[in-house]
Amino acid sequence: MRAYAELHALSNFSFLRGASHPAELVTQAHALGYRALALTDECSLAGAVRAHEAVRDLRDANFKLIIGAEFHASCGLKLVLLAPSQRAYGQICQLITLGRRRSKKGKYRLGRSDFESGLDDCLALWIAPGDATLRQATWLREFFPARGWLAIELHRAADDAGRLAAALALARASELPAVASGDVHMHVRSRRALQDVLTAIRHGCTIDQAGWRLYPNAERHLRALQELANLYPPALLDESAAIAERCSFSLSQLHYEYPPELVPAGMSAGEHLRALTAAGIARRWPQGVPAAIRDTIERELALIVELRYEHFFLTVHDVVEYARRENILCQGRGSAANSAVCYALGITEIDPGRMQLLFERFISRERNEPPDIDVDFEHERREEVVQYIYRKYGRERAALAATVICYRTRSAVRDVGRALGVADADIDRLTRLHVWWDKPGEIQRKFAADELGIEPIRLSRLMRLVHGLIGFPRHLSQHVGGFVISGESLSTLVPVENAAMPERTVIQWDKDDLESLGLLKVDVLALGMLTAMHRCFDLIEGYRGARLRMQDIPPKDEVTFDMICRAETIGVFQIESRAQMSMLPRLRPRNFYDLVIEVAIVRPGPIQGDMVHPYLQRREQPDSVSYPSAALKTVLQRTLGVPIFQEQVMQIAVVAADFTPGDADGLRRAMAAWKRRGGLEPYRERLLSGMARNGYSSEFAEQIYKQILGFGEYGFPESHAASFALLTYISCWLKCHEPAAFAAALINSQPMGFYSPAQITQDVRRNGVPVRSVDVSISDWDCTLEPDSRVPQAQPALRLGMRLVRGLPRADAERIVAERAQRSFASIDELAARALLSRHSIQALAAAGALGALSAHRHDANWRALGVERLPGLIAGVSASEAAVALPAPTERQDILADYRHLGLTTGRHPLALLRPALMRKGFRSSSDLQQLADGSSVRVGGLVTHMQQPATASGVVFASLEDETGIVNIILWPKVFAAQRRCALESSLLVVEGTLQRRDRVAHVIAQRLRNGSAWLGGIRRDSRDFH
Amino acid sequence: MSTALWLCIRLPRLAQEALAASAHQAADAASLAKRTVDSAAIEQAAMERLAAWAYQWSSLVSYQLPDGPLLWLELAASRSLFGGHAALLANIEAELSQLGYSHACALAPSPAAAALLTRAGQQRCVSTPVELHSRLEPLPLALLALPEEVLAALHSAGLRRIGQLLGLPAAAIARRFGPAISLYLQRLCGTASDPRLAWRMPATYSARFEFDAEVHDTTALLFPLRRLLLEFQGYLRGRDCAVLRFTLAFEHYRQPASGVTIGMSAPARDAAQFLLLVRERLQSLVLPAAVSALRLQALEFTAASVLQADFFGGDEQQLQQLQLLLDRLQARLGDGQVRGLCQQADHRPERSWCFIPPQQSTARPDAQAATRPCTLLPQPRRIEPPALLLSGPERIESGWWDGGDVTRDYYVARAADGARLWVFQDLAAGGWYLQGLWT
Repeated sequence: MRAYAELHALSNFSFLRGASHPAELVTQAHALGYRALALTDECSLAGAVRAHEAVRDLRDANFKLIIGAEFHASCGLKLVLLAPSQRAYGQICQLITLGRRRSKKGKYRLGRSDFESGLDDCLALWIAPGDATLRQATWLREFFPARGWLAIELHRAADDAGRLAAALALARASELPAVASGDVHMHVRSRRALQDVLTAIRHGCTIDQAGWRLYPNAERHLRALQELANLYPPALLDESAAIAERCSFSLSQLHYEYPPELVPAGMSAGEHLRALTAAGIARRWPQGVPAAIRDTIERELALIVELRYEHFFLTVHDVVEYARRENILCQGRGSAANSAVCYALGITEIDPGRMQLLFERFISRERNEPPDIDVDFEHERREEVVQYIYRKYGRERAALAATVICYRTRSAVRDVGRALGVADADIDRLTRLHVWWDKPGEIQRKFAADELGIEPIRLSRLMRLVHGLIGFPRHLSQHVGGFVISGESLSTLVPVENAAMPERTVIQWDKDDLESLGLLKVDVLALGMLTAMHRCFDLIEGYRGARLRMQDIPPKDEVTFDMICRAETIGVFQIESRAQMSMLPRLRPRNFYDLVIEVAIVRPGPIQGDMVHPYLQRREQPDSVSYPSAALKTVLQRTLGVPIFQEQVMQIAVVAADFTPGDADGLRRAMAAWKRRGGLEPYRERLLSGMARNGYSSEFAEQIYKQILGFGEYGFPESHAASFALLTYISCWLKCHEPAAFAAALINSQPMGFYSPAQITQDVRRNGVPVRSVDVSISDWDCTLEPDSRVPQAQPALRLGMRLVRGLPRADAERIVAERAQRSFASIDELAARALLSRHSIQALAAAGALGALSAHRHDANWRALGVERLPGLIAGVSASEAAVALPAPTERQDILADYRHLGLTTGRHPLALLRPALMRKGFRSSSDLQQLADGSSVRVGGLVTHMQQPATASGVVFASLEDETGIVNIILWPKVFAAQRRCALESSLLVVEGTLQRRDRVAHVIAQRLRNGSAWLGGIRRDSRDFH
Repeated sequence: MSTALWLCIRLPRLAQEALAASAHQAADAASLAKRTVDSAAIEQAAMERLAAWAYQWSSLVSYQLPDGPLLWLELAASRSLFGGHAALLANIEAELSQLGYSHACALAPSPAAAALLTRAGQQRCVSTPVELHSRLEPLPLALLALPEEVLAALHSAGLRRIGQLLGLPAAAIARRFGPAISLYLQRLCGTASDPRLAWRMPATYSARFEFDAEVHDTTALLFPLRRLLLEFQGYLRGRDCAVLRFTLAFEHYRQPASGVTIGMSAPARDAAQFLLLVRERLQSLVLPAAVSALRLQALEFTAASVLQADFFGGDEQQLQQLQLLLDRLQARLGDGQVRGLCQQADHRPERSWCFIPPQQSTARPDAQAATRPCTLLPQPRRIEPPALLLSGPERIESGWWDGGDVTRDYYVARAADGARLWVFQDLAAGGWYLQGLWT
């Protein structure tokens, strides 16, 4: 059999063209006995790393991956460029960058002249058109001398023989060598239907409109060598193998240079880092650093220098320093972030003295693992940091990592549905029925065809294609904040393209790709809680006079932990979700490390790995804690024998199954990637056999493996949990001791977190803080605090800001504040005239009740606002005066309804308080009543729906939260109950629930039996619930 | 000036009820189907008929379709003729019920108030402005024919009843909502005049010719038809318009009417042309029964300008002659008997072409068609494996989406008699088929 290398193959990273994953192409080409496969996606290397990983996994030195790309120039020229060397690879990267940076996101533009220079190491295959001319062939020979081929691609069209003869004649006439290639779009023939659908989606038409835009057959797959031998003269096949032979570049040859400018002249990077660390030590420990910590720092510095990570720490330090100069709160996290060096450098606030037990996993020389530091910044100011990085390193050397956006069920159903000509209404119905947690395969089982409006044959066709399309990449988006910063131009390392946002560029690889190749990135992330904390510190300074800083918060405040144990955590960081709140009274965190565990344990990983209950049990009965071995005791002691953190799983592998640290890191990578490409099986074998060898039961070993699977997607490292827990503790302390400032800061940082301003204000009022309505004569844009001068120690009142007034632009509010500072307003007309308010704005203020000081009541304010006239020029503010008209004052209920409609919350009574007398007559219980009732009581409750969630780990159980005037009622909806009353559950703003009170571990739930929609009693308050986030 | 008095009839289900009524009378399913899509036209036509019907009681009839439909009759001048308005109202309501229309009637001194009162539950008749005012006062604001946002704004000022609004100074209202709103309120109360567009006689054409004795032979219809068509031509000329189609209905004793629609490929108003087409059509027509009456009806008209004859344009004239030929062929052979051919974008040969209506212009064949024979068998025919293959294979794998998936290798084969055949092998089942041939 002739040797063959496929030199022209597109994967699904040629979006909506290729119908196979890169790894599928690699595996299939290898299985067919090809010598090599060139992955040549259209103007893209986005799939290259995945193909590279697949080849690496083959462990077959006789098969190689060639990196290349296909290009369609605007003149019609179609070329495939291949990289025989790293230099050629860099040239292709630069060409892709050139074409893509010129165009908007997702497009590229290249002209013939772009191929005429700068590609002198690249090999070129010319995909000649049917009417190719000698002149075109001569062009190729001129610009790719001895590196250009005429590619002949035969796909069993009507005149293959004629085309082959014509192409060979052209090759002879132009003295260009000819080579066979396949224009491969799929790894196997059976992807034909999916490839046809991609074509239809790409053209925005239905499949039967696609007509001749579809390929006539499925020949663009990886064909068996025998088939190719039947089609092509042997010399053409031989030539492909010869070309492959010339290509010796592999992605593993890439290495990465750090930006050198952070190190002052005359110093080495290590010396500079040491100097910065020394300065930090003096700042952190003015009384002198404890010896143990000094030793740790020395050890860390030595290791950093040995592994040559100085630049990485310097880069992160530089970014953090910028933030500090600009007064932007930030906090590092990740394994390396919690090192003593990072504490000294100010990258983290976690004192190594406080946390010394944790961080044996810093970085190690055995594992060739890049250090991991993510830095969170205030979410409203992160962009400043991003722009700083671009300014400092330039767009040539700094770019964001990509995120590959893939088809998910919903988008796949929509696109395939459209391509199959399913009516939009039917697609909508399908995706609506198909709430996101449903498994796609279950649709047909669950719903009759007539319910869906699609006949069964089309539906099954649709579902099959949807299944095939899910997981296909759709486009590249920008990673939330993963920066790649390079010493040299990035575009010789990886192509750079434009992101959708102006002023943003992304590389064509995502973070897994970077990690796979060992390239470093710095994560610059946005965290709303940091914004809120910053604001909270500002507010506290405003009325207490002293500035509080993160490091000033007392570390072991009993009152704060008491509050946490009562699950009064609305609005705080991380432990505010319903699932977290129901765990708190059971876990009863009493110290910082308990919080670290609390943050990590209520996550899909530990829940799926079945670690929560064992942990709780052991906490309640410390005597029951036992360890499989003394060796594992050291690993698991701090979590009572239950592995909760990713680090522990890796350590178990080392301690119990004889993994080397390097192997353990391989396991960690495999854990992160197994959903993407499998590959955990070999580790399973090694883990089980290793643990058996060391005398552990197979039951225990299987349990550990199950936990590894659970961690796979949601693995939560202890180092991250610790950083989060610090923010959790600080936010809890603020909520506990400065509730008014905390609530105001949260509202001023919206949108963020789990709770809306309505829920935050209800919560803070239940804690005794008065909340005052928006008032143009007092309020700012943001919420403010109004201390009581007679009782300076009492909590100030919270004055709502004009930011809550729906439909009021910020600029208008700021003009009001500025004008008010000159002179107060005497009338609504004067307000409108002086603050240059549009009719719309003045009406928004009136409707929100913000004109109370200038009117008799809200009806009067609305009427006056309607009558505001803006008169031009000199007579501004002098509109005709009007006789007062007598309008009826609004009732309390009308006021509350208007508050909800125009502010989203009320400063009056809770709407349920108004209904309470009627509800009591009907036997309803309030949230506080439930505290007095016995477990198992039948109850009827009602409240505003604030949350509805269905954790993936809860096998279909839905958790709902209802708010009334006394607090929150937790509802549990079993799947059957939810399914039967889904509409009512999803549409009610006031939900009535009849069910059974369940009281366990100090947590009260109502197990719902019957639901009713009580929204009509509210008279128009809209549902303000976070559903299924 | 004597007080005006307006009767307003609200017809909330006019379109549906008109459709139901015409369904009984519909000559054929096609015309019914056509009507379903255009309920606005149905409603309009029904309202036109009702306006004509209302004309018997009032010479000032007006109607409005949006926010209604509403039909007004000005009665002040004529009520004495019909024995007082109570009797008149009873009479009108009885007839409306007989016609099969749901309705709500109200009488008021202004058309706006009459319209409003049709939705006011009880007490829908007031005849003086004073009565009107006290009748309006307790009614909810939402009954006013005001834009949603105005109603919402009034609501936000605490106003709930019409009386509260009428109690406010007109200037204050105008300042907030514009003069149109205060004018509406004045018109409602009858203090401002409210001129309505008076309805005029209809503009569609319908003519009936009743025979003295039943006619059995279609040729005997031609003489009266000639007269009908000439009158029709006169009417079209008078209105300066033309038609694309008209219908001829044949009424029979004790049987529903039958009929034909005569369609043109271009607008026309020439009686001779009409007669030619009708004659062609009658030749092939089998009457279900003897004809007792003829009705010619035209509902849609087009501007006449398009048929200015071009005496000098040869191409244009040829085209017209071709159209006339097509019209005649279709009229003689019947609908669907004359077809055009069109290429269709599909890789499967049997689906790469289709029939189209003859008037549609066809695109030029694609270049791809050059390698394929022009003659295809209606169905591929199973054959023995051919002895001599001249070229191929051309592989076609396509069509999974409509249940007609094919996977075939096509070849050019030579038959024993030397003819070139287009054959394929079905890759799924292995059999050989003949699909076309070069002649």
